[in-house]
Amino acid sequence: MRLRQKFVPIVIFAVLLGGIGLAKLTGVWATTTNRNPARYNSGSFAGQYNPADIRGSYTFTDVARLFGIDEQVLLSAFALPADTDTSQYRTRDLEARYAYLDQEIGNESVQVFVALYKQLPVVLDDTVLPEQAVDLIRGANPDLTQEQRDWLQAHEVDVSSVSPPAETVSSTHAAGEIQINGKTTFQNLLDAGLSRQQIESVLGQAMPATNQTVKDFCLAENLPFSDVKNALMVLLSP
Amino acid sequence: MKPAKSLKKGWPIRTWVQLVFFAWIAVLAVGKGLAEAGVDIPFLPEVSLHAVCPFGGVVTLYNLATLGRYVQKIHASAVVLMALVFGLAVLLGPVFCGWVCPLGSIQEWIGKIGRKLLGKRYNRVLLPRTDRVLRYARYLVLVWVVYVTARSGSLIFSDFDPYYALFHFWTGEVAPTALVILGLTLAGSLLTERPWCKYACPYGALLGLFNKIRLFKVRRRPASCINCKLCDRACPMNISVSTDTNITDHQCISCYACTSENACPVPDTVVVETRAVKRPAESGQTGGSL
Repeated sequence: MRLRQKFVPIVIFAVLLGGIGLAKLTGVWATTTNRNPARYNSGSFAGQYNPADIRGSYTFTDVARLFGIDEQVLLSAFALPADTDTSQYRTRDLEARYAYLDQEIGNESVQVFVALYKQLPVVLDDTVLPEQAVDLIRGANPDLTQEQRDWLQAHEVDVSSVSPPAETVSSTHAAGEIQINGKTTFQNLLDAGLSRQQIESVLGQAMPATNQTVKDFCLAENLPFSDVKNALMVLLSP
Repeated sequence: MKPAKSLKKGWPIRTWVQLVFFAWIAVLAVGKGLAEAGVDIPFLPEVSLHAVCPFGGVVTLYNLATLGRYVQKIHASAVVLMALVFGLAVLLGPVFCGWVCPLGSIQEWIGKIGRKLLGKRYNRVLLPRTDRVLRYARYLVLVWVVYVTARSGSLIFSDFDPYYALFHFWTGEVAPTALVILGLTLAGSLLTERPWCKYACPYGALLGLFNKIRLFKVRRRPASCINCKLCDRACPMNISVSTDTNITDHQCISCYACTSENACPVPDTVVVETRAVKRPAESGQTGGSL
């Protein structure tokens, strides 16, 4: 069988467009990250989304949809203007907004807020929350444990006490500096100068495959990502 | 035997197909950039180039197999496209390189200027032996890219990728190394056809292997061949079509330039078909003379 040149485009478009169409029909086609966090795999909350896997790339709309929280509640909790476009505002954008504070308010603050607001299991670490978020958690959950009440009291921050120097801050970092986030793999840490022994001393166990992300490993092993991240950042600091 | 036809004038159909894909990728890249800047264009999907790059599907396979996750920035669409392009390659060889890839297309278009400047010296700048050895360098690049991606789980190649640089050079997101490689590639296109494809493209290296097994191969019929060697001169990848019958060279990009529909002046002599052509020694036929 011979194939003339004029039929080549037909074959190309038929295979590519037909294949893409079929992939769309079967739900395989995805050009963005699946915005569904991991689920609890044991206990009475098994099957529910785990807020600890909220990624910095999730928008406030994503968080509201996934955890059944009103978008205005999220905006109030993080002291954002009511007309903020929640479909564009990512949880990691909080870091830039509150960069003038001594403690970081960012994606991890959203994780903890969602967990406490919805009364889902959470490891309470050194994350801080705006006092508006703390008030909302207290208002929605009169049955908070004493441990949770104490933690909230110790970790609320007045975000209006210091006026921001600017709406946005530079997110650039010095050459070679690594910022640990949900996408950082163990190989990235090795490339940044940490040794396998140093990483394992933080993890308290053997390091997994180098292509795995630190965050995925922490989730799988039930380790608080923020604690691991902070310990690694201490090792990385000059 | 006399040539049966003169060469066709005007843009061949392949150029139109290349233009369509180049424009499509450019529109996606600009659309994504505008969307990130807060400018929404109706009907324009917000898709990153990584999502529609079939090579992303290749480099994420190890991560997918070992961790069940894609490499950063890669999505299911890249794996789907990888499978579709492999399907096309099994049928027609690397048509992706010759008809679709925008980086290949722009090298080809710049090469037209180089051809005007250098004349017959164009696409013949390296010593044949050096050139032949360098053609295998792209397999080293392929092994390196797959290895570092598998080890790190990161798309490290994007810091060196001239394709990504071509469509993002204005964004400030492109690594200087990628910009330098893009510059060298485009400048090199003034000296030789498709330098990136020939010597460095990891995806081209992988797709080139399909030339060995593709169903529709480029075939030369010695019985009607007049040994004019126009097919050799037309081949952008410098393949010696005139000395073989069934072209399985790993560098063929299925561009049809050598065929009787383009360069070959004798009808039905260089064709793309499934039926193998017997070698002269097997069939008792020899090529004619000019």
